Amino acid sequence: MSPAGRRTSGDWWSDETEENHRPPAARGRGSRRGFGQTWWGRAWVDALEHRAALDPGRLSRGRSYARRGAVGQMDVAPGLVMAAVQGSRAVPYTVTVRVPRFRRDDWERVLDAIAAQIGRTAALLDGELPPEVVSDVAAAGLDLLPGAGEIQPRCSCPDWGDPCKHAAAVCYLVADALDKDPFTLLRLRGKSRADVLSALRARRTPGPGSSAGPSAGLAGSSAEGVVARDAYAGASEPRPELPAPPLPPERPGHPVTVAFDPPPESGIDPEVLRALATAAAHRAWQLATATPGDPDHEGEADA
Amino acid sequence: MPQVPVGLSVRPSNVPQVPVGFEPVGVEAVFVPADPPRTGTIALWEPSRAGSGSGNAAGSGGDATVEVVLPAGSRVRRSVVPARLLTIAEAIDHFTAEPDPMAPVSHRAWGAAALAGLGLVAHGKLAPARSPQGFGAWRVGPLDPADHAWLRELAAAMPPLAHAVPITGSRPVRIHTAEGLIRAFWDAIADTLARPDGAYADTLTNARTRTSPRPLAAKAEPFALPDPARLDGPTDWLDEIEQFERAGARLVLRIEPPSGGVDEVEPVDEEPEPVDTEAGSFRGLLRLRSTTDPSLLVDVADLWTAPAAVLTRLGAQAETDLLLALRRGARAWPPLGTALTAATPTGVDLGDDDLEDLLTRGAEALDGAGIEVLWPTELFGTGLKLRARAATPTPAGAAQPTFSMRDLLTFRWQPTIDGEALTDDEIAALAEAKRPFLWLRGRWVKVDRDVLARLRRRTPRTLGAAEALAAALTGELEVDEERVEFTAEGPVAQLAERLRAAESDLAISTPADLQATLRPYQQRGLAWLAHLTGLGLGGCLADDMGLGKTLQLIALHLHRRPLGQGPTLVVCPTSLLGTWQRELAKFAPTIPVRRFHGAGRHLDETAPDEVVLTTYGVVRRDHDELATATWGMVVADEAQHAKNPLARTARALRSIPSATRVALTGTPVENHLTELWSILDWTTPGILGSLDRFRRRLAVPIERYRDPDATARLGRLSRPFLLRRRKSDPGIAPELPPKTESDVVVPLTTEQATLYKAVVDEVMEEIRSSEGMARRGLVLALLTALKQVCNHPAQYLHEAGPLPGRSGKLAALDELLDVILAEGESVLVFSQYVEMCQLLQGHLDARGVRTLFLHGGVGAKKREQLVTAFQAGEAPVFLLSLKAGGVGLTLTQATHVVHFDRWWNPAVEDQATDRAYRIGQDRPVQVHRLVTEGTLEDRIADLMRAKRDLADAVVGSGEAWLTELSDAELADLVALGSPT
Repeated sequence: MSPAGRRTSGDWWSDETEENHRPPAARGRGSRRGFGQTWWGRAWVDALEHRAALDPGRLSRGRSYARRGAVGQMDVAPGLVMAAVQGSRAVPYTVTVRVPRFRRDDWERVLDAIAAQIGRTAALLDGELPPEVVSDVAAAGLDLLPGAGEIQPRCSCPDWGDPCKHAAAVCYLVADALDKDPFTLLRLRGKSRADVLSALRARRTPGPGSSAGPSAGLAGSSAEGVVARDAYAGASEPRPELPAPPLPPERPGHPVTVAFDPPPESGIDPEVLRALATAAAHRAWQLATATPGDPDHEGEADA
Repeated sequence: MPQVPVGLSVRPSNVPQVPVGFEPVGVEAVFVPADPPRTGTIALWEPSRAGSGSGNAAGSGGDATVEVVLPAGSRVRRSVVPARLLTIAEAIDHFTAEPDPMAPVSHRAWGAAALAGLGLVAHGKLAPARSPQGFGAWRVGPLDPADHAWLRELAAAMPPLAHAVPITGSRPVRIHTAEGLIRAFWDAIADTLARPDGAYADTLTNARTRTSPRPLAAKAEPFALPDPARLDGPTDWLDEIEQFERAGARLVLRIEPPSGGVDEVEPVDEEPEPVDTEAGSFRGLLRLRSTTDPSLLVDVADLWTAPAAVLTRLGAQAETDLLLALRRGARAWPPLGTALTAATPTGVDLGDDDLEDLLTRGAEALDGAGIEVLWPTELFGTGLKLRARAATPTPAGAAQPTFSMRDLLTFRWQPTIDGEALTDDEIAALAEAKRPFLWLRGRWVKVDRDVLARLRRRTPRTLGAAEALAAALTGELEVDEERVEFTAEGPVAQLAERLRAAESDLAISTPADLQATLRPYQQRGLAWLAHLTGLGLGGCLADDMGLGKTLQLIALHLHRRPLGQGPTLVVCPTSLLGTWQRELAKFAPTIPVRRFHGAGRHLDETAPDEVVLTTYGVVRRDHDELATATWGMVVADEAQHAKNPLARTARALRSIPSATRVALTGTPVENHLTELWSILDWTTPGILGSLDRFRRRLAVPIERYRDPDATARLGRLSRPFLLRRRKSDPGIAPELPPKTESDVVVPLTTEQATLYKAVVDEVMEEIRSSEGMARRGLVLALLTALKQVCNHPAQYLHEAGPLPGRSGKLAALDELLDVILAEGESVLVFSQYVEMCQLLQGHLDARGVRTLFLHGGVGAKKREQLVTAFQAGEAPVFLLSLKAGGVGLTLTQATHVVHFDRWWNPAVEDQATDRAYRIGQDRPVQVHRLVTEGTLEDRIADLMRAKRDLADAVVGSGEAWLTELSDAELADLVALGSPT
């Protein structure tokens, strides 16, 4: 039903030009900015424009839409990016961009490749995704960044262009998201950052890595105990003398926790943890070395 | 050569020196875990009330209870018992109070666990965790092998009662293991301490860097706020903390100096290659130490070149352990982060700034991250230390510098390396050093800015003489909260030496005017006292009761008479005034004696060699007047009356100046360190430092932690000033007679004197106007009445109470029992009157002393039970009211006998007492006879001595001989005389 040929802008029923169309209540940043400030963002844009085999003309329309802030809330889930984009209609359009996820054994190879390098794992645990990871993944025979046909944008708008400018805008904004958090890419490919990290840890440590259960160190979780009758059976045997408590340190110590950092998603501020632990050490030291109270003034008999 | 008496041997506080008969307060303790950990509680409960069903909790209102599993024959039974529940904070307060050595094992065990838990948190060994129900919580960790070993020791020493908390739903019923419960308690402690209380919930100071308080960001509620809060979000980062604990290897950073390291195979005394000390950088070599075998150290380089060998020795996770350790280390000390950039790191280069940082702050931070920093001693030595040297400011030209306890000394700092002093050139080189390390004497020596700053400080530091002497005795001085080595010089050193060698005293001759022969140990005591007092120092004579402290003191007074330093003031309990006076009259009749006590007391015209007797009560009231006199010596008898340093008595005593001070006490003063401080700080002011510092550095470490180093230091400090001989000492026991009898002469109270006079007046009147049988009856009635008044007004008036403060004899008995029971000995108390024994029993019960009571009306079977109980040590005091001629009893457990009142037939009396205990038991026995001053008891004693032979002739006729006295003799006998 649309007229043959292309329109330069707007919807088929609208004669507005790009220049004077202003989506209501949406403003973007500077009009000529580029996308992708970090290596990852740029790598994504590169993949988008050159490798994904998308129509460059349509893509470029998406750039201006993205620049003017037409894209609202954007969610990245495994294999799927979803966003609401404000077009000329009152109700925003829904855009989905699909990217194939890695299969399970693909991920195994990817994680193996990453885990092999001590520096890589260290960086990941530190919250960084070094670009070398791409080559690690390539060594496993896979491509972290999307290749031909791997980016599939869809939009609820009537425009038949592929991608329509709304979808194209969302594609560009993924670069922004990657700038903020490169792990978004891994998430797209199917694993959240937490998943990746625990998988990496599990590789270096066999053993219960389940984060669902209580920390094994918490004593309350050991519920076996000992049969009471047996415990009392040996009650009359002579017991060794009570050991004297170990001397407190010369001064309060540094909590080991100082060196461990909760990730941002946990919502726990490491600085606060450190401060709490340090204060606890001080408090304990004072209690352990404090002198007992003054002897009270006993009633003095008339001796 | 008799055994040198040790002045100090501190009992470990958990081994009860249970005075016989003091049964432990039966309060058991157990920990009840909960989720979150901080809501766990300590329950205090009494097994004796376990069967009482509902009832008030031990010591508190309300009906809190705890469920425990108790033995029932060969089975077990779950019981809900009344208990007092303590929150973790309350429990910490409870267990850090003065430890009770007589509490049951479970109670002491949880006390030790509490202190150990505090220690772990104080070390910083706490970590965030997730509780079983998903709450945020803190726990202790990581524990190193030493912590685990101690935990096992404590668990092994815990009786089942201490961890008898049932696990819900278990069949057959199971209880928590001791180890598990202790760990849970520790976690609860960590969880409680990490959460600030309401008062400062909003601000936290970063105590390490002292940044300003910042509002508690709402970013860690599950770990910060008191209310339980679930952990949302990922929690696997918590597991990483555990990873550290389970690590098979720990990271070690070994610092290597620029010369490329010294080949450890080279013998140490060979000259190392000349070192280019200007160029070259230090290097931190990465090594791994096995946690299961700490002697195993492996270079990380080997991990890359020969991984298989390393992994088998350190565990398959060695690489992960290394990785995580490097991350932690880099966070704690950033220069370590360079190791992470390499694919196969082996070490890090350290620039001068890095070294400086490592020395000051970095090593501690790395320690907190669990990374050891090694400075091999063959390269670095033990470091630069400062010693303090003291010198007396001597007047120029003085041939023999004198040293008095009022002097001030200066001390200066002396830098040493490995114990040897540095030359001036070396010190100059240090001061000019630009790098953090300097090559000195074949080692790299750390250039410590603090040390150099101290050296450069101009103003000399002064020390009081007592402090200097204390430092010379222990070899240590505390400066600015730090303990440094101390070398004494000159007179201080000589004095310390003389004090240390005091055991081999020059013997001194017995003073000529002493009317007694001193036993050898008393000679030594006299020599020791003379030596100390002659030096202007004071001391404490702490011999057991019965070894003759009074006699030694009297000898000392006579010995010091020629010095002409002034009269001696003796402060003692009121009940001993009479005894002192009698003994002075007996042993030193040439010495004038007066009592400064009672109305009309004065100090006018005190002779220069006089002994003035007064009481603690008078000292409290009249210390101003006493302070105006010039005393040659002040003696505090039964000095435990001044054991509370803050009370008025002690303060008043301190305010009386004198040339020297001697304290006498029979109680084992070394078991109560605050008491020890109070006494020694009075005799030799300043020798034990301030009370606060004494508590912090000595009392708490010794009493709470049984620190052997602190015990040794206290011994060195106090031994020269404390002489304690025990009856059981091998050099002394043979010299003691099997039985020592002494009269304790006590004054009457005003009430007693009034009653006494009234009775005398009334009945003498009647006696004069009667004769024959009636007269005899009246005489006996009079004597009986007076004896009862002398015992206690309540006995005479047939009242049940009140008892304290109304009888001199009762006060004297209390004094005696205090010392006897404190030494853990047993005593027989005789009275002719059942009623008096009953009053005594009530009185002692009220004071918490267990007693047994045997009188004529007790059947044979019960009598045997009582005797068995006493011999088994179930009660320290046995009250006996027996007519003469009772069946012989074996009561050899007693080493003391008190005759509260006396039979006036001497043979009968001897028989009764000798039959009651077997003489010739292997321990000497002391017999104390309480005699009221100025009364008929006083005079009859003389009479009896005079008529001892007559007594033989009247065995069996009781006291009838008294009824034969004439009116005049009788009047003399019963007249109430005033003390001289």
